[in-house]
Amino acid sequence: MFWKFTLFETKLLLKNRKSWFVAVFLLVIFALFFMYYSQDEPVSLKDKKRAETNTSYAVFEYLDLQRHDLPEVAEVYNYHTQIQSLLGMQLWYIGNGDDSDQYIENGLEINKLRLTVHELGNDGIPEHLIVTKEDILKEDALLHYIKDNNLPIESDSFATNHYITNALAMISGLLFLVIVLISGNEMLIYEQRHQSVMKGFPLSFMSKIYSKIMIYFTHVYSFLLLGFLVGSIYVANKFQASEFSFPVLVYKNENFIALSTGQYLFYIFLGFGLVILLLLSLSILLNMLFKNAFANILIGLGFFILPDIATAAGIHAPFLHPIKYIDMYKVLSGDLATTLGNGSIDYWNAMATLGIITLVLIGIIYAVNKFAYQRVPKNVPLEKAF
Amino acid sequence: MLKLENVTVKYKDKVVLDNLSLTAESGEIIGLVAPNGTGKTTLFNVISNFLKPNKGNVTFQGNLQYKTERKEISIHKQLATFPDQGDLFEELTGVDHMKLYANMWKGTSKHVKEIYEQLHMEGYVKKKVKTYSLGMRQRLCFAMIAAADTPMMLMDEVMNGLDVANVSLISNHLMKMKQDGKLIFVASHLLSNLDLYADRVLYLKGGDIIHEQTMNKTTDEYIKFELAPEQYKKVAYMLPEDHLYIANHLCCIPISNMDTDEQKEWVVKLAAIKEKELTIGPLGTAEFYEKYYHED
Repeated sequence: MFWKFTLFETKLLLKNRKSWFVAVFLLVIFALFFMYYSQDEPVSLKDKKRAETNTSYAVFEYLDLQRHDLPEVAEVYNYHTQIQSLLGMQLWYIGNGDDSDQYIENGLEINKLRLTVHELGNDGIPEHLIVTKEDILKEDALLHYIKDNNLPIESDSFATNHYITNALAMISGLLFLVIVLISGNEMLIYEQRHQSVMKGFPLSFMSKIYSKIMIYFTHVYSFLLLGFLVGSIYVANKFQASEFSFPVLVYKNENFIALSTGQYLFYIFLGFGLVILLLLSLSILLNMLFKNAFANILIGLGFFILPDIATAAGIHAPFLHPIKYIDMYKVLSGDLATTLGNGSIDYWNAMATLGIITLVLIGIIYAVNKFAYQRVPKNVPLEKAF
Repeated sequence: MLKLENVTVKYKDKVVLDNLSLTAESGEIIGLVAPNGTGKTTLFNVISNFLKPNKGNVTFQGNLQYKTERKEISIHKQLATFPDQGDLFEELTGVDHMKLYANMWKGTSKHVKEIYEQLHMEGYVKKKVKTYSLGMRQRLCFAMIAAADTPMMLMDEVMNGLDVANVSLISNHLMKMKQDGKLIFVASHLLSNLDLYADRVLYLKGGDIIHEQTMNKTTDEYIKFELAPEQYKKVAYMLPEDHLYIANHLCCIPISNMDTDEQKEWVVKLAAIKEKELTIGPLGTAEFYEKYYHED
C-alpha cells in the first residue's frame, strides 16, 4: 500500500509544473553561475603574495613610529622582520627560485611567527593590518595538506576549487531554503483541494508523510546533484582541471583542516541532504498547522532570519543559532562560527543538531496527528483535516 | 455490519444530526433522502470518521470503533466514499484515478479494465480528466469506487449530471454490487431511481430519521389521484379520516383495511372528482418526499 501510494504521489509530482520549475532551476543555476563568475579570474599566487608583502611593509611603517625601546614592541618588530624576509623568499621561490618545497617550508615558518606575534598581542600593529588567527590557521592547514600530498603549489585545479566553493556558497543558506520551501509548500495541503479523493485511504498518516518526504527529497536532491554535476563539467572543461584531490579548507574543532575537494563535496552534499529532510519535515508541520502554502514559505523564511533579528535587536539568543546551521557552506568554512561567536559550531556539531531537530519535527508531526484521535469534541464536532 | 448509536452533530445552536441511530447489514442498498443542507453528507462524514461527532458511536462489525488510528485503518479497509467530481485531478487520466482506488484498497489494478469496459468508458478513460464532461466525470467517480470494491460504500449524489442511459447503467451496476453482498448507502435526489434498487429509504429531517420506507415489503396501498386545493376543500368532508393530502396536489386514500366492495365503491366515487388519472399502489419515494419536505 505504501509503495502504491508513493507511486501515485510521484505521478502527481511529475505532473506538477512547479516541480519542473524547481528542477530546471536546480539544473541550470550552477552552470549559469559558473558562466558568469568564471569571467573573473581568481587572484594568482604571485599576486596574492605580492599583496601580502605590501601589507607587511605597511606594518613596518607603523612599527617604525613606535618606541623600539619598549620590549613588547621590539619583540614584535623582530618577528615581523623575519616574516618580511620569509615573504620575500616565498616570492623568489614562486618565481625564479622555482622551489615549491622551500616555499611551503617558509610559509609554515611564517605561520608560526604570526601566531607568536598574536600571542604577544600584536603590539604596535594597527587592527586593519593584523592577519587574523583564522587566516593563519587556514594557510597552515593548506600548506600542510599540499606538503603531505605532494601537490603543486599552484594549479588550475585551485581555480576549479575556487569556483566550486563559491557556487556552493551561493546556493547554501537562504537560496537553498527558499528552493526547498517552495518545493514542499503544498506537500500535504494539496490534498485539501482533492479532499474527497484523497481522504479515507486505509493508510496511516505517518506512512503518507514518510512517502511524501521520500519523494520530495529524491526530487530536490537528485536535481541538485545533477545540476551541480552539469556545472562542474562546464567549469572543469573551461579550466581543463578536474582533479578532486586539491584541498578545500574546513573548520573543525576550533581549528582548520584541509580536505580534498572530493571529501569536501561528500560532506557538503551530505549536509544538504539532511537540510532537505529537515525543511521538508518543517513544511509538513507548517502545512498541518497553517493549512496554507504561502504561510509555509513566509514562516520558513521568518525562522531563518529570526537569529539576525534577535542580534539586531541586541538580544543574545544562542538557542536560535541552530536555525542558521542549515547554511552548510558557512558551517564548513567556519564563517558561521565566527559570525555567531561560537567556536563549537563545526560540521559534525551542526549535523548532529540538525539531525536532532529533524527528529523532533517528525515527533511533533506524530504527536499532532495522535492528538487528533485523543481530542473529544465539545461545542463543535471535530473535522479531520488530512 | 454498521451501527450508529445516538449520533449528535451540532455547531453551537445549529443541530445537524440529533441523536440519530441506525443499523445496516451487508447486501443492502439504503437510500438517504433529504433536501440540501439537512445532514446527508454530514452523516456520511461521521460514518467515515471525517467528522468526529459531539456525541454517539459508530460501530463496524460488532466491535470496531474509531478509537485509534489503527482501528480507523481497519475500518477504512472495508469502506470507500464516493469522490466529488470537483476534487478529481485534472492532469491525470481516468485510469490513473481508478488505479489509485484499486491499488489503495485491493492492492492491485488488474480489474480496472474490466470495470471501465462495463461502464462503457473505453473511449475516454485514458485521456486527461480536464477533457471530460460532467457526465464522464461522474461515471469516473463511480468507476473509482467500483475499483475500490470495498464491502461498504458511501455514495453521495451518485447520479448527479448523468443522462438517462447512464443512470440506468449505474443503477444496474449498483444492483450487481448488492448481489455481491455489499452494503451501499446512496444519497440521491433522483427519487424514482431509488425505488429501483434501494431496500430501504431513510428520510432525514431535523437531524433524525423521520421515516424509514422499506421497499417491496409494504402492504399499505392507496388510491392516489391529483386534486387541486380548491377542489380538495370542497370534497374533504366526504373523504376517510386517515386520508393524506400531499403537497397540495396529491390525495391518497388508504385501502388496506377495506374489503373489495368498499374499494370498488371508493374508486367509482373518486373517478367522478379526479382531475387526472387515478392509480392504486403504495406510496413511492417521491410521494413520501413531498409529504415530509413540501412545507420546507
